Amino acid sequence: MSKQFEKVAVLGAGIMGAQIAGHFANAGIPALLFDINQELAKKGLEGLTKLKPAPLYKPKNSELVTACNYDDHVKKLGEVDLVIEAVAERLDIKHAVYNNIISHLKETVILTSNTSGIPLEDLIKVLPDHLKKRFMITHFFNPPRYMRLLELVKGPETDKTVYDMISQFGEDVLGKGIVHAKDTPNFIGNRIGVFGMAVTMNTAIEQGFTVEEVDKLTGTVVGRPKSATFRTADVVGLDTMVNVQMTSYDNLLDDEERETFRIPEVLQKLVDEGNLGAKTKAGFYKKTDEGILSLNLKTGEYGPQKKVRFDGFRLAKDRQTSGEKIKAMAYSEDKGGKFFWEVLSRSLIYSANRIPEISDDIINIDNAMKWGYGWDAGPFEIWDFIGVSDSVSRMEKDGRKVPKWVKEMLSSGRESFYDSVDGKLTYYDPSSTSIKTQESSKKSISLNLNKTSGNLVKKDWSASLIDLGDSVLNVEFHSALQPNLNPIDGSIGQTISDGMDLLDAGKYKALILGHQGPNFCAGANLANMIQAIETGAYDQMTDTLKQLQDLTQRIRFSNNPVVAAPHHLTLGGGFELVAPAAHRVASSELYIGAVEVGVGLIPGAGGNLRMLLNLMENSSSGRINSFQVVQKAFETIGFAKVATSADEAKFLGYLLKTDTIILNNDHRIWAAKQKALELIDNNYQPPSYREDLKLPGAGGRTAMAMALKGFKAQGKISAHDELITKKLAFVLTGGDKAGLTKSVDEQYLLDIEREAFISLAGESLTQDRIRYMLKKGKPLRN
Amino acid sequence: MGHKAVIVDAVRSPIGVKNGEMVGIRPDDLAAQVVKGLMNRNQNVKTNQVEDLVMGCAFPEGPQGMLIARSVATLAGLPNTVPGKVVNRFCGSAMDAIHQVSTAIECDDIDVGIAAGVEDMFSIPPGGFAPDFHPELAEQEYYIGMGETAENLANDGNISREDQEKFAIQSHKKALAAWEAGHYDNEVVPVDMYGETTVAKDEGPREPDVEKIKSLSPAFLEGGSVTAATSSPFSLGAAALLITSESFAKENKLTIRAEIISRSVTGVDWTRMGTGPIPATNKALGKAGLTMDDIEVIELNEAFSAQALYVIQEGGWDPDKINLNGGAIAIGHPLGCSGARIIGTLINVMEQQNKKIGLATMCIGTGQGIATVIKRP
Repeated sequence: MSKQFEKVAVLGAGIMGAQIAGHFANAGIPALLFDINQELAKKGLEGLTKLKPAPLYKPKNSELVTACNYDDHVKKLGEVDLVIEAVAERLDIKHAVYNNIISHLKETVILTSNTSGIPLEDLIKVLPDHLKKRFMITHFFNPPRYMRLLELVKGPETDKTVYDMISQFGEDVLGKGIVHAKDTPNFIGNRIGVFGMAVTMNTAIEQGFTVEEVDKLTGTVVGRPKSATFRTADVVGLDTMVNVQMTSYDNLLDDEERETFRIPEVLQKLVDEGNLGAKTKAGFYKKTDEGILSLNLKTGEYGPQKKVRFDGFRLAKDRQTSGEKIKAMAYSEDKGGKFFWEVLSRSLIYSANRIPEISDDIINIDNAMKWGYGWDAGPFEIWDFIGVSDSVSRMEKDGRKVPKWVKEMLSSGRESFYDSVDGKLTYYDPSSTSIKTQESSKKSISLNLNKTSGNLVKKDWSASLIDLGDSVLNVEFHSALQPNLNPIDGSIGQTISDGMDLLDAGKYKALILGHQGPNFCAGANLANMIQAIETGAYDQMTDTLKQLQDLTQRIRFSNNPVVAAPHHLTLGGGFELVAPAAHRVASSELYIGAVEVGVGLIPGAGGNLRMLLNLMENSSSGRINSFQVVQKAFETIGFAKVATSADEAKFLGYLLKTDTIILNNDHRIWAAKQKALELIDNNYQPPSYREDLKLPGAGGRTAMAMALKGFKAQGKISAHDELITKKLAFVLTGGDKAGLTKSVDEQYLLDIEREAFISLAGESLTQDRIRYMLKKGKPLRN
Repeated sequence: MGHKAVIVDAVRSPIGVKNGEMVGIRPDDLAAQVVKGLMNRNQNVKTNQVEDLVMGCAFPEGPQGMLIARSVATLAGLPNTVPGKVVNRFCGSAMDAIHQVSTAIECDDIDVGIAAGVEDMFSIPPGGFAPDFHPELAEQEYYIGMGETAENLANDGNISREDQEKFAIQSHKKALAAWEAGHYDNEVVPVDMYGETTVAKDEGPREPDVEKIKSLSPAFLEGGSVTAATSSPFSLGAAALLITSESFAKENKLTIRAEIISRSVTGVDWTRMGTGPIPATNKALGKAGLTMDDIEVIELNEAFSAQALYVIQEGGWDPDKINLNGGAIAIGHPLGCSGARIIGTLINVMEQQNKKIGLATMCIGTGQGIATVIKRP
């Protein structure tokens, strides 16, 4: 879908307003950023290049945002197609702003509010009738670049076309996950989310749990962000948290859990004393020179954190999937397990009771929690994980009142809220008390669902081949041992190779390398590697490396196009698998890098060749010479630079400038397939083998070695760094065969890369780096 | 030697530094403005009387390539009958250009020439766009970093970090005082930045922040003593001198500001390239039949505090005669421009102090020294 909005305005240059404008810039849409005076507007704009995590894909995007003030620039509002109001959460202020701008707006403008708590019916009171039709709520979550959730709320007068247009635009162009909410206090995400926070805090206070215990029990182990409960509150800001919670308390007079929203004394005291969380360095946690202290919920005093030990936690932690982990935690008999069960069961019941009050279906509630609160699964999905029937019995045994519709579902014979059948996702719909099939956009291909409809061609330990239809085959990674990081193992290599065989045999016309796990691929399997090193299996390592190199060349020269669809972490070998493809369709949230130097190595599966080819192609119209290409590749790989967005990846040379960037991660596989079909339609021809690579050779390498010597003298790099990067320079400058008057070919570069890799693997300091990385998960400087 | 070469005038651009307003101007445009400024100040010399434009430049590539001397002559509005050549002796390039023009005049090859220098250290990366080093020379430390050579001299001469910092602070203070007193007014022509702004003053000199200077880490050697504050900063600038035969000057009623007495170049150990001014000066003094006592003022190019202090210490030079208006540590050292910059500064200092005989000398990467002795009439 094309962009209907050529220019937008955001009113209010606070933390949310500025970042919303910044995200429009990320999508390539110019935004006017308004505030009451130019300084405030400028401050908001400047924050875009300073805030962490970075709101922009690249700092240059800030050029698309223009700081404006109402006094001097209100007429400019006539240029924009969409106005998003994100001013202070006070009805009188919002009304004043609306009154001030209405006469300057285009006839066709759409006006939305980013309010999180003010009812739409109150907001529109000052709007003329024609604008009421073009008004709705667009509620972004902080930080808008990273939080997928966009809650939409329409009023009784909102035009359906306006609502649909914003919904489509939010999904396709801004890459957001759309949740359809109703005009109820705190909508869906914050209604359920803040209830979860409140019930957790209250239970912790009642049962005498410490802050750090609660965060351990409600964090990653149960598929929620690491910051869990109290740390999340600190990050959000306790004042904000209290405000949102009070919105629920003040407005939800008939809510069965209204009292849960009452602010606990200990929290109120923190806010009153100005301890607002991370922004004041003290909240539930306090940053001090002696380390991070935690608040005693009983005394309100800070003290050192105590070691947290729960048997149930230890068991749950070792389960593979978050579903299994949550189940293990919920049914654990120890104190921690009972605490978690109490909090979880109340949250599930609370969520079920909200239908149809805040949503007509379970899907929007689940999506809101996944996209806005970073949960791995929403409440109803979690309920399915722990078994609906068993858990309902236990809830009732606890004396809790389980919502009627849930029991009706069970008695109708339906055992779970969701089910996957024949490639379709079905869900129980309480409003009609029937089972419905989820209608998803054709752009949201789900590999998991695809597999349930007989499209699974081959399943191996860590990867599968899936038929996507239209003669397009997909290689999905799902590492058996590390499904989160998907390091390359024999199974992944073999499955790609099998896919290539099917391609060569004419069974398929194109291949997609892509999946929907948490990360594309974090590189080589270091555990295997160190094992090979320790047993002296260097010949075997050389063979494995050669096979991988050959596989990447096979991808590059395949007569049928291979399209790679990387997302999130794509490191080391991940980059090397992606780079030789005919085209890449990358998620805008791509963290790609050749980081081998961190473990004392250099890229060994063609990464050096890929980086050189990419930089040469990216600069084909520029004035960059071979030395500069090599220098840039050298700096990028030598410093193990990781791009923090797909945009930046193009700049660094991990992607080609012609590669596709997609903001909606759910659309990535579909877009890759579309690209593959397009390549087929255009009579795809593989690139020709390069025998004409002009590289600087010994002279340029000597110049680079001088710079390295300087870094070493300055103490910026270690002797081992110097050794590694000298080998890197040897490969990148074309070894012994390249020079100003000579050329080398691709295979020569691959051969010297392999040799350099193996020789580095034999260095004991490199082995120390690999072991350290395996143990600590971060690079060793030695 | 029948003909005497005299310096009729010397001008330069302000010297720009990192994050300054001058970064971004093309070096050929910059030098052309200086040459134009020089000719404007000397209307008694017709542009078609200029017989050569010799321009120093240490990295004559990119925007400084394609024979920048000739392109500058053209951009400056000189007629196409004025030829041009580029001289490269790294940091000594522009001083060498002066040597070449004066030599040509003394030999009666020409009567009127412009000796100039330019360097934009921001557009051309250090080492050039495509460095290609000889591995054997690398073994011999031929490509040693300049900072490391300064560390060597600090070590050889036992020159403390404190002394280096004191020297650098003095350089800034003298430069600021000289600007304040108007001692640069006759030397610098303002530079027009493509109509957006005009830069009229050097961007480098500033009130020293002693705390910050003391807090800096060594810039080149872990545990070393040379820091960014005691090194000449990356910079850009251009300078030009109008040199004629004495007879031409007299016939055309030109003011002779100085005459060139002697010139020299020497080679030294490249790992201690900063010592170059000592033998170069001795050689130039010998040729002029002078001793150091005869020299009243000196411009000693300050590549590094440690390097300048080493020369002063080992040469037994009188610090009170040296760099009275500040030096390169404050002002900057645009490599190919500096030789012309310091001779111009020397002439102005001599006029301001009413001195007769002056020396300008500099060290050169790859281990060389260059020196010029001049005399006011």
